[in-house]
Amino acid sequence: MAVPVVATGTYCEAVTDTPPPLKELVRESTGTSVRRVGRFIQLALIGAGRAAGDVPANTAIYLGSGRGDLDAMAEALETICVEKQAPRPLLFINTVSNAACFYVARTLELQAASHFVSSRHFALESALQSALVDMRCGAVDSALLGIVDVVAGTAAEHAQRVGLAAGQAVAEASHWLQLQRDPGARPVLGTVDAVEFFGDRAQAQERLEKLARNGGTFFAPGQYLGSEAADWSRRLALDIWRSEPAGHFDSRAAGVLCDFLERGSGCLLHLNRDPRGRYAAVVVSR
Amino acid sequence: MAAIRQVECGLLEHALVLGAELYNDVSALGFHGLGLLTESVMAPFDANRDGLVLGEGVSALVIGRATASQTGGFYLRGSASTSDTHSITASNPDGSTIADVMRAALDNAGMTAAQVDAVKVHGTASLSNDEAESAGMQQVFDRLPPVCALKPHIGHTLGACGLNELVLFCAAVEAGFLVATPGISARAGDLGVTLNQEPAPVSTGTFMLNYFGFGGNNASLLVGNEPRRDPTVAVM
Repeated sequence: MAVPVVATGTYCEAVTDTPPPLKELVRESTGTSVRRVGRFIQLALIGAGRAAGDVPANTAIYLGSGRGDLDAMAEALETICVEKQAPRPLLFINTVSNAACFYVARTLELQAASHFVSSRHFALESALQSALVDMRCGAVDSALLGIVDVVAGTAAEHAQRVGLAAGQAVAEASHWLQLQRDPGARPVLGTVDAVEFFGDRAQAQERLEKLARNGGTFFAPGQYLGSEAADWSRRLALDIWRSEPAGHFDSRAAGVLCDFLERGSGCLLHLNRDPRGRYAAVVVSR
Repeated sequence: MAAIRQVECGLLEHALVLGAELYNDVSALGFHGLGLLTESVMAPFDANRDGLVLGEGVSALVIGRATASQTGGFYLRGSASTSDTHSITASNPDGSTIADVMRAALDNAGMTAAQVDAVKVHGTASLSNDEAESAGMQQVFDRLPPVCALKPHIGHTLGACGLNELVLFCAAVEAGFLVATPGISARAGDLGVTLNQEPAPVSTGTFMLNYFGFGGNNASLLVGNEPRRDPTVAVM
């Protein structure tokens, strides 16, 4: 069952030095001022707010991230390990993985379940699979699904912390989809057709060649495919979908999908892999 | 619940679900800073309750679709999960959001509150959360069934408490008893909740297990150990 996407919300900005303040963008995106929250939560609110037009109260939240709230956790660890102090209550609360979901639910007045999905290489794919399963089995009618990556400290500190090469640009991102099981009369941007995981390359190859033959239009190589990207592109014989991010962030797959849903046409197959040689594919149509 | 849905929709045949909580300074100092730790014992719903004890725990569960020939094990009858946006650290003290998730789980299971044989409470022994939980239970149940708490035994294992307490609860029922917390909430105090005081004998039934976490995550499970004819997902 293809799941309709009725709205997307994106924020993706390069960070060259110190990340910029986000308070005003939160107010613009959500229509309200949300106080005493950190950058990760602010980013979640910006993206979710931009995707939340006409969102019903029974909407479930799925928030995925490659590293969670790295900013709050780094500050808490600095307080504990360097300053030898207990973290302030508010800082500690913001390290709780589901804190961003709480603020999204409260700000947008949502009452259904919320889920935080942490996966370094497959954050989008894992969160999307959870949402699709819940929607296909009828447990969830409406979902807001977002992927958030935050820059902790300065751009240089962050690049070092996440193991990037010197001089590689970094970015913060918050990409969200509003999914509706039955959108009724609402305009539909596109559909999420499939999310599939493969234990190894042979499994992926067999399935993806079939998918590509059955109506594929574009291939988007995931950021962790590395040198395999060109080989997959030849093998699948699909045009490459070009989507240039502002800089490195863990969950670039979410940015590519939102980009295609906003300006693409046809069917996009996004493929990624993790260092253990497992693969994940997402297929969307517009 | 996510794993069970993946089994139900045929994506997986079986799932291995793991829960783990280990001591760490961030949690320990964070809870200390919030003033939520007791210096004595954890006494949920008790007039003398003054906070929680953190715990460590690791648990594992294999779930899969029940077969016609299957005997034994536990089955998920129904479940619900909702967001409580009253406060990031506390449930709505009027009990309304807690009552909502319990009612949603009962609806999902096609059951009434009167058919629940026992309740495993979340029971953090904090002043406000126990107040909210007792108010919620009293809105759902005309008369409370036997109520038991596991955190006085293992502490609060935070994100892993859902699985840790499910596995312990089921293991105790399988061994023929409902867990007791002697001396804790032996009499119904201002919250009107009495905890099971002796290991009460129990064999079969349907049990409600409740969880109300930070970030407003409310969840309620109904598990039973009597197989049904309709396809259900076996737990363990």
